[in-house]
Amino acid sequence: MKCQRILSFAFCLLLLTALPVRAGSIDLDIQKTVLDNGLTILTCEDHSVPTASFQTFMNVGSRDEVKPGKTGLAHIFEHMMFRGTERYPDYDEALGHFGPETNAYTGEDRTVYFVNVKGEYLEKVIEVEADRVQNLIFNDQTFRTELGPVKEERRMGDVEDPDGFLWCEFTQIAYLKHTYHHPVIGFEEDLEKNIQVEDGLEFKQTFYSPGYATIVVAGNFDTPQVLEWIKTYYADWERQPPQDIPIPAEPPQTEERVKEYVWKDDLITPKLIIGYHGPEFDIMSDDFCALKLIGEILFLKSGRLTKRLYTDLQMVDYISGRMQSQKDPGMFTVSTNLKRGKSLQEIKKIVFEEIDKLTREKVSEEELTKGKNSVKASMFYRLNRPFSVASLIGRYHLLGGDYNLLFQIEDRYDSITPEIIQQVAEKTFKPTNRTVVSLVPKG
Amino acid sequence: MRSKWLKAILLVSLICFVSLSLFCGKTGELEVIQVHKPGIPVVYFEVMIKAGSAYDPLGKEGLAYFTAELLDRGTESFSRDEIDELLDFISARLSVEVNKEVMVISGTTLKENLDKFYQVFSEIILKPTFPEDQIEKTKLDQLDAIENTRQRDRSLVRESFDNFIHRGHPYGHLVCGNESSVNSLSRQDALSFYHKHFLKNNILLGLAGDFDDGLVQRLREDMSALNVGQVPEIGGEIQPIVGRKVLLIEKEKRAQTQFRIGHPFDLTRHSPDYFPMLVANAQLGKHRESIGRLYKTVRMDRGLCYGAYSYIEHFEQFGWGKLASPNCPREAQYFSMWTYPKSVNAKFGMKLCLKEMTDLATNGIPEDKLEFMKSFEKNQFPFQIETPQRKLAHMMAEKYYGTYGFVDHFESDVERVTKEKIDRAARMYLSPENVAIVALVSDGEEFIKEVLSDQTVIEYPSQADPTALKEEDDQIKAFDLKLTKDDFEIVKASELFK
Repeated sequence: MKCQRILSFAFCLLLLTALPVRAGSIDLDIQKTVLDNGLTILTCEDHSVPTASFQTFMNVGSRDEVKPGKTGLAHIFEHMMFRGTERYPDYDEALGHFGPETNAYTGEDRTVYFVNVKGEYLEKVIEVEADRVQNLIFNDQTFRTELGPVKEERRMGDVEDPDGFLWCEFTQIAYLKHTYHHPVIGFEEDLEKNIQVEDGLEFKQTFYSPGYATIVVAGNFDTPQVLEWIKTYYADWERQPPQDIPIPAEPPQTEERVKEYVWKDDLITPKLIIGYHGPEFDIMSDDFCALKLIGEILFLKSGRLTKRLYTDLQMVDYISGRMQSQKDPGMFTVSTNLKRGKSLQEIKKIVFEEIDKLTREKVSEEELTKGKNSVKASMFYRLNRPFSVASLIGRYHLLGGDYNLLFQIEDRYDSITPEIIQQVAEKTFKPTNRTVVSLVPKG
Repeated sequence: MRSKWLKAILLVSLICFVSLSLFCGKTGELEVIQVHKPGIPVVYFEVMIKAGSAYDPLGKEGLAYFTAELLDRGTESFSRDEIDELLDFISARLSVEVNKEVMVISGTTLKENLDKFYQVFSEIILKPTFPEDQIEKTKLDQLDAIENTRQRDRSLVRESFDNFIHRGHPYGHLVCGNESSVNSLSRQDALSFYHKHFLKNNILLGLAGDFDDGLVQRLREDMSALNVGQVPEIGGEIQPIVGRKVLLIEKEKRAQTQFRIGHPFDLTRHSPDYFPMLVANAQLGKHRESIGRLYKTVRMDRGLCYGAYSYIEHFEQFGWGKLASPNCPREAQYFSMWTYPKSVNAKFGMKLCLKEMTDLATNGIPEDKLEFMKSFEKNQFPFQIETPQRKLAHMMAEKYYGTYGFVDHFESDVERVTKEKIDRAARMYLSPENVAIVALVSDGEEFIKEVLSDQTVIEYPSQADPTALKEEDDQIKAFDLKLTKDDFEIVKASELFK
């Protein structure tokens, strides 16, 4: 007993002397240039590494797929971008000598192509990237062939994987009108039957123009030189009039939506996703920042839900959650995987209890500080390579509309009080604003 | 009698000397591998211990993992809750990973919280208490880890392949053990494993980021409190695969067939053929790269799958990462290929992979690909060591293997590779006639019938009709898998890891 008291004292002493994380403010020297054709370029030099990251952020994602029967086009187009041009018929041959890390990803709000390479090889990268974004070859044969990997990617992620499957079902129930309803990879029927090469061509015409693009370069290079190369190779990329894509707004949810699915085998344990409609990505909004912090308060290792359900009661083998960062209003989600033999009803009850508590009681200053520390430090830890730096700059520019918001993160989160947390929780966590989907094993 | 004592003393001294030479400097002082990167006030810790799952005693499979899981669930000064709370408050990261040969304890902290973090970090290594109230909880979590391996098709096939080719060897079980062995684990088992492995002469220390000599000295001195002892050896011999042997894992209603093909081999980081095989593998199918033959023939030409890759070392992680984790060294490696086509194309896919492997073993690397692949490897290496923690992990692996200069001389070692060296190494190390195939299928008996039938089907996506590939397709279809009914085993996924 005596020993226990002394030990707790050691802990208290450490905790008391632990201060809010300062971590130094984010210190990035970002330069913005806009070319005559509307192409935006953001550069951030770092000569402490030999590498650089060249990223093309296209302001288009599955959110922009408004035509019925044509879901998955943004992602298919991303795949097609690796199929070559007349000048460089084999993309990998064109850059392979330089040992690049090349890849791309498509999300609801953006499509991003990146090439990480030693800084000394940037000119060739810029030439090849400029060429493919302007002169991509589209023919029926390659388009049909590329649909194969897309369909297999979907099968792997959304058909064979129970977590992927449940997430797809979740968005379809949570969003009824908005295009966040459909999976980024597209519906099976659209991939199998509806999408044709002409759709890909039309997509290119509509979205792949300089006004939709932002190039972000971070790492080891000389900014004037890189800008010169970009101007040279992208000068002929023709400006197109901006498109007015009518994205249907999601009407306010008025009643709880609940659905349970049965998996195809009995080898899984039950899974659960709970979501509440929340705000869009906007770090100037208290709602967004507060919900981000609530995510930390609930789901850090010592967070309320993790501690109760994972550590203490051992009812789940995994639990996490967050406020999504999206261009249009996103969801605050809770995802969990139950331990065998545990009851979905009981888990839901505890999740709702903890969420409800946030609407009734103020969080402590200590808990809030812990959440703020985590948000700030996470950002800081990511600045360890040009790829992560470029990704961060691009994300803030594209979603937030201004990369300068990066420099306000610390102040914005610091301004959130326990009162704001409670107000935002009250506004968001209403049963009528809730979607609950679960997946149970067969039999 | 005196002679016996003398012999014993001499033996202990010899063991100590040999053991000290594994991880300690000549003076017996612990070495701290250092990667300095001031500028960003973050400090990374890494401690590597020869305490992987290959050291699990028979019947106690999963003990290394169990011990590792318990490390941060209570120390002399902190309870599990206190550790979680404190690390969250200072936003520090702590992880304990177990692989076949090593346990790696890693930590990341902001420099401003270094002292607070270090108190916890050093305690979980030096003063874990393996609290009684955490024993059953840890076992329950460990059983979940086994269940998760079974649930996820990719991990199920990879782990089953690893076990299948290492049957009877200490590598041949899941790192997290099997259900019956985990149920048998006790606090005493963990304590005993800890005392046997957490030795001064069995531990490798590393620091990266923004730190000073004071921290180096402190870490070195504190860790010197560990005992010196006899470092256990991994025994056992890996049996070669003779002929082609197939393990089919049944899971209901699979739309895709995940499969891995390969075999154990003698290639290690010490081998002079390591770099020739590295370049050969880039030509065949480096992980998540699109330059290799497998990716080109399976995905780009035919659209049969999202990816197809090959490996000359165990590759730990899934997901986006292209670069292998340096934190899972193994002294005995294996060659493997991995893809996951739609089930109807599985037989064709297996033939294609084996044909590509055979072509490489028989014909070596095409002359016109040599410089391209070498250049690719040389220029991609800076990403392997791009961040302080990746560089540290590579230097720790270098020390573990004793392959000094691996990081510093990587580019020149690749440069020295010639076509002759690659061709000879590929012939010597690749054995396409003697491979294990592990595949996930809906119905094992049906799959065997299909594989043993004369027909090989290929179904192109979306009515794509690559007539230009007809001749090559016919050659692949004609490739002889040389399998008979006796070469197959079938097991239900639910029966694995029991």
